[in-house]
Amino acid sequence: MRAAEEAGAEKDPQSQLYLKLAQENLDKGKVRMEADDNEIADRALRKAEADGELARGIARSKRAQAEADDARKTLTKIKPVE
Amino acid sequence: MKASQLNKKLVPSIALLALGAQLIGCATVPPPKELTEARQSYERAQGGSAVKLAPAALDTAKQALQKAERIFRDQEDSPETRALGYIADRKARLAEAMAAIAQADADKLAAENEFKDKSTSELDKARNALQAGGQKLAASERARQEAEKARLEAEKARKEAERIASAALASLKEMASVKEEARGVVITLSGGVLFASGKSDLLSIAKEKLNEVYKVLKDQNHPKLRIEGHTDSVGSAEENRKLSLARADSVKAQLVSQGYPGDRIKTVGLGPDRPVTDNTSAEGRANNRRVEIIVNPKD
Repeated sequence: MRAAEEAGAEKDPQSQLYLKLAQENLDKGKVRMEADDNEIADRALRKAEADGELARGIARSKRAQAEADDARKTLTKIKPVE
Repeated sequence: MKASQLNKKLVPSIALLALGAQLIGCATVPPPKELTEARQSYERAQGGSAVKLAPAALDTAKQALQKAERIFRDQEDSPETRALGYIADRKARLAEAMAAIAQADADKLAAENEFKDKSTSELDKARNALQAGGQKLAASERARQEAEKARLEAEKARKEAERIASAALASLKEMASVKEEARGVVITLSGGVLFASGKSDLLSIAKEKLNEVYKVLKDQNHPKLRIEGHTDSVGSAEENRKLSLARADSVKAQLVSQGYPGDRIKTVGLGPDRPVTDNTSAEGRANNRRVEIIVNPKD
């Protein structure tokens, strides 16, 4: 989840959603661990991990697309020599 | 889409459907929502650019889905089946995100390379334009210098011509009366110096003087001349006109004999018609007996 946040997951609505789901699953896992319900806790934590990875992946893809857009915009700034 | 590409897409899909059908055949309950979503997500990812751009992530998703399907086969709709379906769905979506990253990175690199190429190209153009401008400037400067050189040479030639003309005038003034009048520069030679009384043949001294006159006029590129013969009023006016014409012709002949172009000289005999002074005294008559050479006559 920290990696997802560092990738900017909180700035993009889609990755923000998965980050939220990851947080919920993480919280659920912790609660279940405290209740010694380790099997459910394990499932919740595995789901949290998958959500976190996806949040990070989506955030990275958005950032990469933004950088590509910037590069294309920069390209249009070249003025032809007359 | 080509047949080979279609096959590549269809074969894994068909395999997956076969797997699903097998599972359906084995299971008596419908798959949980998580597994259904995982199957759909994987189908979408597998049919998109992830096959080429994120094959490792797609394979991870495939394995996650297969694991979920196995558990579903063994446990049907269990919490573990749902959890594995949930995770498989995320892995398939992650494969799509990884493909999007790869595509964006490739687009960015292509744009950067194009930027580099265009920048270099425009820079080269600018450099060439600058060089061409410099060459034009140099050519313009050379033309200006040549024009200035030509102007200086023309100025020099004009001054030289003026100097020659001035020297010629000074030289003429030593041997004859020279005046600038409205009709042109008039060189007046006294008749007494040129001819014996009543004759039109030039005296030897007169030929020498005329040769000097010739040299001066030759230096001025043989200007047009009008040679006028004049007499005093003694004797018949008609005879005097004939005599004055014959004398003008003699002067012309002398000049032509030295090389002066004959067609540049016109002669007239005016006799006593245009005296410069009265004919009552011997001095006045002497002054009226004359030959005038008009240089570049205006009429």
